[in-house]
Amino acid sequence: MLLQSETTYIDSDMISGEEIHLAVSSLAKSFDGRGVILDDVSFSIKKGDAVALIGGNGSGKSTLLRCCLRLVEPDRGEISLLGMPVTSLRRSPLRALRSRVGLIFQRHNLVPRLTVLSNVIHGSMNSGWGFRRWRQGFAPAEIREQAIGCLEKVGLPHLANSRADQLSGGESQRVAIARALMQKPDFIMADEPVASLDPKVGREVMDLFVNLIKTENITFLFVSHDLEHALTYSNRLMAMKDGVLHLNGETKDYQTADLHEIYG
Amino acid sequence: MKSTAELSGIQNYKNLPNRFELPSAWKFFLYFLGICFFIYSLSGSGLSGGDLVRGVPNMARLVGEMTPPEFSRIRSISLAMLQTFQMALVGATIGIIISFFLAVLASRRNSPHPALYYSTRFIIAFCRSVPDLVWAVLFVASVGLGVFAGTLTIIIDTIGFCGRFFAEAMEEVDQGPEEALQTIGATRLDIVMSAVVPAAMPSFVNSSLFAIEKAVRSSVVLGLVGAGGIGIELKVAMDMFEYQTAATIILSIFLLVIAVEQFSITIRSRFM
Ligand SMILES: Nc1ncnc2c1ncn2[C@@H]1O[C@H](COP(=O)(O)OP(=O)(O)OP(=O)(O)O)[C@@H](O)[C@H]1O
Ligand SMILES: [Mg+2]
Repeated sequence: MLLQSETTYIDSDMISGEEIHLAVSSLAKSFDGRGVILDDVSFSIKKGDAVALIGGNGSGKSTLLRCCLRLVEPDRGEISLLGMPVTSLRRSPLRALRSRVGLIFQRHNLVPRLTVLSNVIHGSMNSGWGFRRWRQGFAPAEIREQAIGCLEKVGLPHLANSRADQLSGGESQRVAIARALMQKPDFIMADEPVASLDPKVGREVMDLFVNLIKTENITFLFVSHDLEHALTYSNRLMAMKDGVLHLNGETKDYQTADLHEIYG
Repeated sequence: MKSTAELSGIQNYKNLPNRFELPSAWKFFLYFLGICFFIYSLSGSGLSGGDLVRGVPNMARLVGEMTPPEFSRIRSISLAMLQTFQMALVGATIGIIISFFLAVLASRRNSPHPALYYSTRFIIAFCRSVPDLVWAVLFVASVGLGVFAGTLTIIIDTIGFCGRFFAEAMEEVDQGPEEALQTIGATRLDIVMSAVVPAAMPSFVNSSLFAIEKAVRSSVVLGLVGAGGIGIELKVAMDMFEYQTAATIILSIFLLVIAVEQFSITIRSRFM
């Protein structure tokens, strides 16, 4: 029975001729005392898509992202990420899968007191070798070179030796992106990546994202409260309201006015 | 004239809380019991103005007999001081290293298993709750008189102190970076070593410096029960009524403790 459903899934891939990078079906999650947070959410994202996810505060966007990496355990539903069945993975294949997905938070979450270079090198944490990823000083030469390469892609190679807690917000977020690139990700998820940045730097960081995902051929899913960003930087758009997926379609079909409704 | 409250548009709230709450009858009774016990303890503590006054001339005479300090045995005193300091330094350092590993197991988020968490917590609490002189007596009885018993005592004492503060420091660090590394696919060990430890480092350094200061102070008295160091010299000098030599020893203890504290202040200001 199970085998058969898997075959059909692969078949539908073949028919569309495109690879599905994230498929979520009937996903549900509730927290004790908070009621239903995600209610029967289903969607899929194709390889190379840039998807904006919008929705009011508390509508379940962050929880949805976290379920996709099983940082939060879903109650029900199926999630297939990069072809892997997330919900049934054991610990070590789950870690391997997580390492292929870059996750960027609103707060950059860099390790303070360590250098920028050490923080970027942390991105290769799951490629083995334990302690050689703890500090830049222990890392093999090629890893250090790769890390500088990632810093060049975000335009900050000159800050490699600065301490992570002495950077501006925009610089920190760029370093977090460099750390995600160090993972050689196939997918980047970003949860309000520019919410704490000023409008100019915010646009720069979003431009950086969009250029990177094009050149590196990465699938991109980002959460934003900025409707302009959501419309500019995506080709697909999804909107959540009270744990339910309300909109899911091509970005070009929506206007700002349509989107205001979901906050009502 | 309008009052300032009216001018600033503040309403007159009727149900402001009282400035002070009167204790309930039950609490009042407990306070009363506490005060009674304290008064009873005053008599139990042997506090006595008369004895203090009568003791003053004796103290004065003792101080008189201690001056001027006698420096003829300075060589052996210096050697004993060096030994005391070495015992403190080595004991504290080994204790700090062991504490670090125990503290990882004794911090809730990093511990691999609840059983390990509770047992390491218990070990650390046990090391802390038995006083150092008691440990010293036990070690003298088991490994014999001398510096080794003192070093063991300081190791155990340091574990009781640093184990607790290291674990607390690790539990208090910001969880954001930890979570970020978790999403990268890092193992718990990787996360502890590359996110938790760097963030808790200032706190580790601070506690370690306090542990060294504490070890120096306790290494001075451990000799009194035969666990090596300068304490035994002091005891002998006092027992033989060599008060001038005793004065030299007390002075050198004072200098050592001050020197270690100054060193620790300097490191702390560099590091923070
Ligand atoms: N670990 C948790 N335990 C209990 N409740 C939680 C937990 N995480 C999230 N919630 C609740 O789930 C709801 C949805 O939270 P979520 O963070 O997913 O919303 P969001 O759409 O990301 O909102 P925002 O736009 O403010 O970031 C909130 O009501 C929140 O309080
Ligand atoms: Mg959120």
